[in-house]
Amino acid sequence: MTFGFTQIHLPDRFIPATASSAAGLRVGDWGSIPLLLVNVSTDANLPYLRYRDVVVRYSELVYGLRGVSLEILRGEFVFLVGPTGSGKSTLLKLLTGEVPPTTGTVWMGGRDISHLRDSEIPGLRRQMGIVPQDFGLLPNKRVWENVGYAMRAVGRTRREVRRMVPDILESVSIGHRADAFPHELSGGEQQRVAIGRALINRPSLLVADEPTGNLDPEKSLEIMDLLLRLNLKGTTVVVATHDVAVVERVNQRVIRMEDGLVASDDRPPSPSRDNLEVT
Amino acid sequence: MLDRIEFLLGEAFTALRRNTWMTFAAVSTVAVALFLIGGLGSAYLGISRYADTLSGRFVMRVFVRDGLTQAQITEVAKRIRQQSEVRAVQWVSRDSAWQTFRREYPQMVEGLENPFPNSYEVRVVNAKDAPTLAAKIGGWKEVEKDGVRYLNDAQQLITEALGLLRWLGVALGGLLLLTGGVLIYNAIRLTIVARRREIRIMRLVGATSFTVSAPLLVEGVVQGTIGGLLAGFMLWSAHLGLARMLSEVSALASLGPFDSRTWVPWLMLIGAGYGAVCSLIALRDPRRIRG
Repeated sequence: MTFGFTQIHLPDRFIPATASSAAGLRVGDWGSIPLLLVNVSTDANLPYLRYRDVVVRYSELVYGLRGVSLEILRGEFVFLVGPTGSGKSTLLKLLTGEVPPTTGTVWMGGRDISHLRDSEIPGLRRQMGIVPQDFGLLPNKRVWENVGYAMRAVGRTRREVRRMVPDILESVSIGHRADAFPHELSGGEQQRVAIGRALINRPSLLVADEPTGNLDPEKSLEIMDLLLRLNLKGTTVVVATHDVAVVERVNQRVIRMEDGLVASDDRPPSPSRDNLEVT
Repeated sequence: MLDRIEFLLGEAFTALRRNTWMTFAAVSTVAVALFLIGGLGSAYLGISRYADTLSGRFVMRVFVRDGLTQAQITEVAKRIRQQSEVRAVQWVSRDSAWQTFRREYPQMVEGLENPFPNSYEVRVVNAKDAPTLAAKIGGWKEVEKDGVRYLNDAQQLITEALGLLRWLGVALGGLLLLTGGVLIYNAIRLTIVARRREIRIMRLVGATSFTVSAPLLVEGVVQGTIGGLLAGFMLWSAHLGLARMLSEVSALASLGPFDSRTWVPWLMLIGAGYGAVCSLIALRDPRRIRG
């Protein structure tokens, strides 16, 4: 397999976000951060994420997954849906290295990430952006400091923080609230900050666990719009959600989980341009 | 690099500021523990040194039986000299002993005959070896029964004082050091709880274990170092007070100067090392700092 810096292949099923959010957006345009110029496989047909016969057993009686095989292509947008305890969060935890598979293997970008050493997990997480359900913002830091703090934690200098944070905040449309504290923000705005923070490592994969769980329908669609925009720039996005309304309105691949197994895997029949109109 | 160090130190000092009371408790306990250990250690060293100076003046008397031939007397002297604990041996005849006694206590000797047997005056290398040497020589047939005398009480007192100091140092100092250690451990654990959000964010974005742990390690080291510094200051104050008190009691008594250039850096170093060990114990399970 060869790797190189190249423009990513965008599958047909990609849909642009709303006209308003898409306006002025150019591929590769994210301030000074070239999102599309990521290190990618030149073979677009190879799966980026691959689960093979994965079983996760938390204890004698409690299973997270009971034998899941899945493939997700680079640049795909995938919803994981299903009731609580169905295994969708476990699928995400396998990617972030929080949980190892009991049996089976998990691959990311051609690398087996099933049983990484503790010291290898930070490196893995720098290849992805993780958006937690509860936003995970530091209450005593301003918006820009929240993003800056995460950057400093991964070794960025003050100078880099000053240079990059405005671009990151603009990319998630929260630049105008840079000096606000989290408690001064709406839920949707807080989630934008959390997504912005997830982008500090210029990830090729964005993993979001219930990103709209704490938001009203309108804000939920705004967040989905944002995730779709990032996806349009080439970022693979995997979202675990309960939010049926959002899933139905966003025409993307939906993997339905039930009792630790894949119950269905539905790909969108055709791209739609009007299904994410925020009113 | 400097940028990185600044970030890690900034994190550590933020934690110290947030846990003010726990930091205070840990620092003060470590300080008292190191002060006690340092103070008792200092006293132990002082008495040991005094005991060593006593050894030079330490004289053991070995009384030999009456009726020994000159050859036997010479042989006993030779055998005493062969003992490794012995520094010097001097023959004291019963007549010279009697004369010395009469000169020192003239009023006590009237009407008495010379009760002294012939003897040897034995100087030992180290006073603490006196009991062993006495038991050895006392068993010889040329020596009178119970014929070995030395300043047993003084020797006993010094040995007991040293033993007591050692015991106190180990028991009290150790107990307080353990308490200080538990407090440092608790301070680090509290920091982990207080900073769980920051630690979680660090983990989420891929910060290394070093980045997460280093500030916590620095926190423990700073607490231990400050404790050591305070202990040094307390020891210096105590020494100053004791020296002043002694000079008021007796013009001859002296404590000697306090070597702050040795004691303070050592106490700080011990405190820092101890703080680091306690922090590492608190951090030893990586799951505890996953947040």
